[in-house]
Amino acid sequence: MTSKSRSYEPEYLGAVLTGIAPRSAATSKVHRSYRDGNAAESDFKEAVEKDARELVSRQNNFAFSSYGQLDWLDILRPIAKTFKGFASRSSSGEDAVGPVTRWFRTNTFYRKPLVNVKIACKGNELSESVPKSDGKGVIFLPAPYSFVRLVENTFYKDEKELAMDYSVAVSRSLQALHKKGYGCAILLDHYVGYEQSRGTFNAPSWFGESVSAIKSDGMRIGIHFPMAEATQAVALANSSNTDFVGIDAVFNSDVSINTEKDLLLGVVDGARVGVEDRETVESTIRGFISKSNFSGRYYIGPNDRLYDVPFEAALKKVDLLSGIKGV
Amino acid sequence: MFVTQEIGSIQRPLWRQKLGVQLDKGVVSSALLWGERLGVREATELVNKSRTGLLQKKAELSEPEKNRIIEISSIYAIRMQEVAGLDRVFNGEQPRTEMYDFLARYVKGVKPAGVLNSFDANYFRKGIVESRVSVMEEGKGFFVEEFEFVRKHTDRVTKPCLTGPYTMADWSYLEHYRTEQEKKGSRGGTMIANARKSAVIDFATEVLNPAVLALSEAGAKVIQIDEPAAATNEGESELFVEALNSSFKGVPKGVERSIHLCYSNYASLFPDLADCVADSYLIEFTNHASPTNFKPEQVDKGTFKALQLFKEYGMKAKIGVGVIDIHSDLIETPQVVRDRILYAARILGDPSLVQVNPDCGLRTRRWNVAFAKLCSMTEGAALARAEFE
Repeated sequence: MTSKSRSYEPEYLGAVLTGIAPRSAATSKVHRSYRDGNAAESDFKEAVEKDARELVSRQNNFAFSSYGQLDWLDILRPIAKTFKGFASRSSSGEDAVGPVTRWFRTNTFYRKPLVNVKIACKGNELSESVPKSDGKGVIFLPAPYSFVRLVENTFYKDEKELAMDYSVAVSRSLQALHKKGYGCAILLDHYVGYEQSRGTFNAPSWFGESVSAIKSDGMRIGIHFPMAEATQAVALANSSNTDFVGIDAVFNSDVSINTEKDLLLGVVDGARVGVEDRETVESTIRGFISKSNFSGRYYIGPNDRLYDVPFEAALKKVDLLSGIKGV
Repeated sequence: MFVTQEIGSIQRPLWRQKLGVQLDKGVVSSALLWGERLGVREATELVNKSRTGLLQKKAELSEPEKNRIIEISSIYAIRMQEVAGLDRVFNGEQPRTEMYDFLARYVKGVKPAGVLNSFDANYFRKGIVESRVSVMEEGKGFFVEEFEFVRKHTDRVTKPCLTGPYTMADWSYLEHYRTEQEKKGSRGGTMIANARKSAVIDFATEVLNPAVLALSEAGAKVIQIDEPAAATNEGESELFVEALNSSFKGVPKGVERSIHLCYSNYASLFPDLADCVADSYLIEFTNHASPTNFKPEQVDKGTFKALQLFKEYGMKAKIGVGVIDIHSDLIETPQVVRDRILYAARILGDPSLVQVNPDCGLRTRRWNVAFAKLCSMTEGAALARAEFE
């Protein structure tokens, strides 16, 4: 691994979110009313759009901006609902496509998609699930490894085939997303950290290949590993051709990173409602970039989705990130 | 054999959901229809011919009237369980907001932080721990009052439930405990783990244990602690068990100490769970299996393994088997319920160890669906009992 010496000035690329965002209390109230038949779908959409505008307006000095994918009921739902390959098992609930399943170590849940035929897509499905962006939009999607672990599969005999078909479908979707103003895709690999903590993680041979299959001219592709031990996570990312790798700089302390890629440092805690002070965050950034060998270019962001803090706290964390101009 | 019970929560009756929002004729008549169906005498306090019912009032309800609404909806929930034929009942958690929030309101040191999404259009209010936690006196009063109200209105066994210490800590922002650790120089994953441990133990000793003791002193013969977060953090099963044992410390003999675990990898709690003092564990067994056709391979592998482990470790605790899917409107047939019960009994090797319940609270389902499911559950339990007569 080649690395640059510490004598050069690291280049700050800006901030970026790392997952879907929470809805406001007002929107949650409208959402419940809509579910109970006391409000129209348009009321819910309007409330979501208002939250999205607020969220986007606060992302100053961000390299890429996100509307929080606030209309997605979970990060897999639009994929399971619109791509070919997924069964709709009899179930109750909005866009129900599978059993309610806990999202890692949280009190939130997702509908586990049921893969029962070969995964494929036309390419425009996801772009129709998001609003138009300005060329600097970022989309969050499950990384292939986590996707394989998050779904229930009764079709594929081989996990690699499942991962590769998913990656090809995502890759095809990125072209349409790029046309709609999205300049970045971040692949979220929650399952790596989850399995590391349980002592059950064994990197599959197809890890890098499946990530590398996700590409799009004109878009930056990153892979991010919330709550993962960073050195192993970065080694995994190194086996792929992503442009940058994201590490959880809250969970990890005192580690050095070796990569030729750009870094995304998750320095703001997505599981903590309190807003970090700027000095501590800057000190964390300095600590990582001084110890690590990398391209010299870095982003900062939350260590995980901000979905697990209330909307107001998420906005404050975005404000904090907006105020940092690099170290 | 095969004691039947709800896990705790039942949706608010339609008339209560729509109160102050959209109380049209159809909704008002649903109060009467369900009242008649369940034999709720108090239904006439809601709607009557002289048009003095609480649902017929034009003016805003007074505080005592609002409280009476809550009491009457509790009676509806109690009657629904009784008419369905359950052996153990509670109030469907009608006076409570939500399983985390209702308890957090009675904990010193916890302040509301905001609303978070749970799934689909379900949200919950999460709290922030700003100082060391302890239960408020009025909290103990609330739990006892709630228990006594149910006991007064039923001849069945009254089973109160409380959210457990591990779940309360896991679902809170532990700012106080994290700051305490940071002051000690702890950082990263170690800081998070130490903060969690302190918080879980405090919730057990300072919140749950006083509440549980208050309920047992009031005469509760079964007390259920709900721990949906139980297995979300593998590696903390020892802490989880320590917290439960602390929560039940001092409970007199003869009181059944019950734990509800849901949607978790129960097997990961072993071997530590074998050291838990609980007398019964209520777990899900059905999640999205067919309502009309039981096949052993439909049983979640983790749940199956957990049942084997209960047996392997020689635990004599009762196992409440979830025979009803709470995430589907499809009604299980009594025959499928029977087969699930019998299959669990075979794995455990002793039918007397099996209790019968839905996977989790039926709050996710409308009243007609929840009622039909509970009826099917008790019919299935009766069919299962018949196999041993």
